[in-house]
Amino acid sequence: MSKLKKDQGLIAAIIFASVVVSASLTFFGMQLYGGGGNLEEKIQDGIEAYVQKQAQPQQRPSVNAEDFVDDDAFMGDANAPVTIVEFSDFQCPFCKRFADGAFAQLKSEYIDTGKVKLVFRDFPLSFHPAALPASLAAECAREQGGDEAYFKLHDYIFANQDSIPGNLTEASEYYASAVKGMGVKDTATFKACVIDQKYQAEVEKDLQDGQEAGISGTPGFLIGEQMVEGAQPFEAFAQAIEQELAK
Amino acid sequence: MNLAIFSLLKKTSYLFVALGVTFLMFDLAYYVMTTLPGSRNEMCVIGAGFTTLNIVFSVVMSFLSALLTVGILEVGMSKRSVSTSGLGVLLGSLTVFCTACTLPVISLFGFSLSLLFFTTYADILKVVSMVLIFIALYIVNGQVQNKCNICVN
Repeated sequence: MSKLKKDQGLIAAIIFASVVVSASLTFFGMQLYGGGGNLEEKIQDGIEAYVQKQAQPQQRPSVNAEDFVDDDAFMGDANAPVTIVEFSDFQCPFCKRFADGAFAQLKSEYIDTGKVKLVFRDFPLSFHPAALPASLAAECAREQGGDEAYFKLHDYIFANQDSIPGNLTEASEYYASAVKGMGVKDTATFKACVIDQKYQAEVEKDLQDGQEAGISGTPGFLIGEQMVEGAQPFEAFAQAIEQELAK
Repeated sequence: MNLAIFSLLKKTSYLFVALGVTFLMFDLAYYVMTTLPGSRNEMCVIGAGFTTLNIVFSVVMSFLSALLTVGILEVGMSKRSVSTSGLGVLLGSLTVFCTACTLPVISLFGFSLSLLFFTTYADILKVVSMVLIFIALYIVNGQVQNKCNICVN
């Protein structure tokens, strides 16, 4: 091969490598400095997840559930000594697992006894198209029927998780028929509320607050100054609650 | 076994190509790891595949893919059956093997890459993709050394 062709090949290779490496560095730089600084958090989360699969509460510094209560629906005594903030996705199977599993015992042993106040906040994940309409519908139900209507629809959604619609128009019809008897009297207003995404900002605020609190997936729980991630067994929640009660 | 394919990296142009391909493959793998939905620790997360093991696996696979690319280019250039344009070199180099080698190399390369990107990074699929790419490297290594028993050179 002539020297000219060899030089051309070398130049082409250098240009190729330079472009790719520069683009990579730019991409990673944007992740670090322009993407909300998520890379370090994701690396840390990844390392923790690989090294330590655990059902124990994870200690995260500077997190207090009281700071993330906002004005969302809650159950239990408003003055309960321990606050739990649950960030949940209505289409997430693990959130359903919690609702069908540990929640019942949590409610009977801690919420109904006045020890815990549970606040439910939305954390719809982008790959769950039916989560946002469900969140909007629940907020619209709460508008007319209060927290009681909210949690009745919450239970209904998780009980019928496999059939909740992802389209807003379909969702408005679907949930309008579901909320009859849940304290929602004006279904026309309810449907308009869902279709117009009246509580979009509220749901987005829940999402942002969850991210700020360090929630990386659903369900995620702030229990006092602790965080429990995932649909853990009741014992994991009990341990965290007892530690908070002892303070 | 004489790993002639590694010695190709002593050539500056191939070294740069390998560097570029490694970065390119890892960037694609990184994007997939951090954006694919999944589950971890009993919860739904975005980027569940972004774990230490998957990062290490992606780095190794990216390097091996780069090595394979360099090997294919070397065989293509040495056969002198390609055009001098860059794309022509790349495409033409994929045709320089006889059918006995072309099909397995391309399919093994393709399968390895597809397993890298479109899996849930299950351990067994990692092992399969590594085995496939090592088989492809073995075939290309033989071609680089002109030791193919099937092709008549």
